[in-house]
Amino acid sequence: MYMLESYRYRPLIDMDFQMFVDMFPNLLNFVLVAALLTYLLYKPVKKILQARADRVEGDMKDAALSKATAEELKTQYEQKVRDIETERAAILDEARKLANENRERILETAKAEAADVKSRAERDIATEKEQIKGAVHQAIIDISADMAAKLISATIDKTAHEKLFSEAMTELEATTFKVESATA
Amino acid sequence: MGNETIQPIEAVAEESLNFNIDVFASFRITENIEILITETTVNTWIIMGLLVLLGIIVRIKSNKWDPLKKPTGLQNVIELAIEAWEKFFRSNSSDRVIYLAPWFFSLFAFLFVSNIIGITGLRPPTADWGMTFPLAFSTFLLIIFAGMRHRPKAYLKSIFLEPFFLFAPLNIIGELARPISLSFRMFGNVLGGMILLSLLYGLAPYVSRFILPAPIHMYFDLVAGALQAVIFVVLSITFVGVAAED
Repeated sequence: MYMLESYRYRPLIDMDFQMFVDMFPNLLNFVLVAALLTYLLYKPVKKILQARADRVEGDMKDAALSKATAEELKTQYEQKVRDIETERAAILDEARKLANENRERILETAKAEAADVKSRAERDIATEKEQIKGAVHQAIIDISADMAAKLISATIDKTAHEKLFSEAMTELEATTFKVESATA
Repeated sequence: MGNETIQPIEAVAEESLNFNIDVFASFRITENIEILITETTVNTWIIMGLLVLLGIIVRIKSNKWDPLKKPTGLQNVIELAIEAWEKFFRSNSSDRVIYLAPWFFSLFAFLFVSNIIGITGLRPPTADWGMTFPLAFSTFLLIIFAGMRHRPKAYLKSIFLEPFFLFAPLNIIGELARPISLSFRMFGNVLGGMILLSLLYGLAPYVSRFILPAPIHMYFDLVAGALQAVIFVVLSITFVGVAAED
């Protein structure tokens, strides 16, 4: 396999001092290759992986922070909604209470006004009734007097006239009384 | 056809079944210490070169990669691999020792490429116990480091006083056995696959060598190689995690 001037070999396993001496260069060779591989290959790649991991971790932290902020905002929002709901309910209760009070007051006022109007109307009706009653009474008296005067002047003397007049007045008063009774 | 045309099995074995590790050069440091440049060393350098080249490409390209954009192509593959590795590490070990993830990632990458390099015809470095034992020994040291750093009292108690002090020798042997079992498991599996394939190449008729070994390579180099790399690393990170975790 290899060009040799004078062939020399080492047995596969020869437990002598030389064998252990031969091990040191082999160990040194491996230590050297391990150091070079670590420096040239392992560490640069690990650095890249670490940078990527840091970036991902940073993104995850940012995302977690954003999530926490969003959660806080959501909590605040929900609290505000609850506050608004409470305030709305309070306002509605107040409004209902106020509306009820207003309604009661308006009803009371309306009732009072209605009662006032009614009593005034009743008073007016009674007054007008009295006026009409007086006017009718007076008209009947006048008409009766005119009729009696015309009749008497045409048919009887002064004595008979007075007698008739008295009788007519008596009847008239009696008639008037009946009319009042019927009206009442 | 005479008997002389038939090659004896010993001759075949001598010619193509040599599993010893070739030595290309040596540097003597002292009278007793000699640094050998073996086939394992050279193949390790080749694998190191491949991995470092990949690392350099990723390093250069990663300067233009935007972490905030969708990854594509090589970036996607590498990011997927690193992410999957970290997840795998966390699920099999402890978060306390996550800083050791790059080390074990490198270990897995190195073992995986080492185990599957056999498909190119190169000898896997992990078919040499001189390579697997130092790696397992590094795991052994990391087990002690994790235990002593994260829970020293409990770790020492688990070795010397559990279930009670008479079991300390057994516990110590158990701890020492870990790197040995780890290293021999990997070494044996990879070497076994290599031996089987060498036998196949050596004994099969010449023409069939181009087709027959392919599925065997698929299994012993790719499947078993990947599996052994995973087993080695899973056991290592589990031991380290257990040592660090209460």
